[in-house]
Amino acid sequence: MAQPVVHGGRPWSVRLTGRRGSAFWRRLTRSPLTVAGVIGALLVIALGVFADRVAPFPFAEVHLTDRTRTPNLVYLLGTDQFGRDILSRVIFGARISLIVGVASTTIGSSLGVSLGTLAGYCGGWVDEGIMRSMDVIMAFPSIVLGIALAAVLGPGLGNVILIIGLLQIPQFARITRGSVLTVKELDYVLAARALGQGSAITVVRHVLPNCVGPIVVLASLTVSTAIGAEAALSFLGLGIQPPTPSWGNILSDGRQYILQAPWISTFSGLAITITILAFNFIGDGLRDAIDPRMRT
Amino acid sequence: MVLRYIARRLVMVVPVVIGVTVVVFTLIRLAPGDPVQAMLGENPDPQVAVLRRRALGLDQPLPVQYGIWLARTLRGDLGRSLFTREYVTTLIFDRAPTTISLAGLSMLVAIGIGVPAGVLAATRKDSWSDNLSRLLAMLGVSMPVFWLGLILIIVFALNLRLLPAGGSLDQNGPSALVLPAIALGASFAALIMRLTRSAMLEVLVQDYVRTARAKGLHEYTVNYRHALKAALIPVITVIGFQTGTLLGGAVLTETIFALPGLGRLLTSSINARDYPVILGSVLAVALVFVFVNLVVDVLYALLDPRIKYQ
Repeated sequence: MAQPVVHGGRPWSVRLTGRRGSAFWRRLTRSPLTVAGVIGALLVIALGVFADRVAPFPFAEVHLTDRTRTPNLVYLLGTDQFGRDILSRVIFGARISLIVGVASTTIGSSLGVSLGTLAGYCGGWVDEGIMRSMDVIMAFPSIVLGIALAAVLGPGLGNVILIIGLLQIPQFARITRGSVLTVKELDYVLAARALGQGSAITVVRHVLPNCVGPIVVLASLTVSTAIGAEAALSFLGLGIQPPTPSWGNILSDGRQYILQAPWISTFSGLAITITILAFNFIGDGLRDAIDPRMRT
Repeated sequence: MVLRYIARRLVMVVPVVIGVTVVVFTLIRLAPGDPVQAMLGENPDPQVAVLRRRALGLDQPLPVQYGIWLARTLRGDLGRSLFTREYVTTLIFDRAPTTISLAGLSMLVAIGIGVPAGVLAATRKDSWSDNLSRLLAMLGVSMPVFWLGLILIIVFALNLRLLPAGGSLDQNGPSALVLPAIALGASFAALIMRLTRSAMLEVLVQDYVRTARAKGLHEYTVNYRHALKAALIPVITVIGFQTGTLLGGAVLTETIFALPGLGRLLTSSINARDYPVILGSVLAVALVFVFVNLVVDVLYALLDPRIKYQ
């Protein structure tokens, strides 16, 4: 993350080096839950990246003689109705969840921050138009709008990323707009404009770097929301399609075998919970480290 | 002052409602398949198809089609199911009571657990009970509702056989709502607990609370009669705004527990690609959400004296 150009000690700027940077890292690592979150997230990322090497079996490999086996030494988390190893499918599912989480957050934050900056900096009709559009998207419960979009656009990884990314735009737009409205009235920004600096350069060099804090906090929390949303859509059959494993579709498959093989749904749900928990801990820790006044 | 605030909010809600209808109409037009073909069958008579298309206004420009669709919607006509031919409005009104009951019961579960837990955590800050409550709250917020629902079914319905695993109210009575309400209310309870704790921590350091303690009032009276009343204002606001999340969660919860509510109507119509039902349900849920947000905004203005003087 780049060091902000402008000095001033704003609560939303993020310093990673120097005296203030040390204070940031100290606050971040002070919380054991934040550290646990970072470790958990890194573990999930490692599993996702090295799934091919870590998973004991290919995710689609079928063992017809070992269908719905209880967890044992060969199949550590048991097998499903087709004899596929649950542990391998959960590991490969981590990859899908991380791809969706990161990609959709990238889309949501890029578009949301751009729109929020435009709205906050320009004001007037531009601000009204953008924010009322955001209000319309937020007028729908996210999962309901996600379901409607998925029903219309069709299932699949690309569409899921696009849909979840679109649903995240309003949050980023609102939080960025709020920060920009405050920062753009500060003396050094007014001075930059008085010196003849163009609006685009003023925004990129002086305004945005000092709005980074809340955006970073939101981004980490949004990754966890995106993972949950993907799981929900896949659970409903609108997300990642079999045989590609997603924690949501593994959980959904397990519903029909809840009496004979409750482990199918249990372990995939546990994976979702642990991952979301890890990113939530990170988000909370970042919020406390960036602005202790925002603590809950 | 308050009336002006309420009037302003009412005016602001109009473009949002129009926006919602535009989004739903756009989705209807983007949905795969031809509605005339869906009505008349795979190989309809071309002349009949043209006449039907004209009768439905589908040969008109999009803004005109939107106007026709909006006029029908305002009359309560959301079209018919492609498969059962029932009116979408009838389907929605038949199933709405189950969803409203589930949402209401979940809200009670959430407030009943969340508020006392938040007060306990705030009054015993940094103790083991505070840390445990915060950890459980984080866990509650992180657990997917559909997974929690399955766990509850496995434990309480299949193993212990204490409660039914959902089903209709006619079949299993009100007990059919208990496990779904706990599943849906749990994550909401976690959120309310965090909010209540945060709000209470701010209020507990106020001078009037210190005065109440100095007067020798019992700790229970100080916490619940004096501090909680002020702390609840922001909590109530967020509870209201989270209704949308609750409605969204109801979709997943009803699917898990096979409850015949709006959520299950939505998911079953997705499987059948019954677009009039899908989009009619989405529109109904969105409008309820907008209305609830409006009511919460108005209640907030009435509850918080600072709004009156803005």
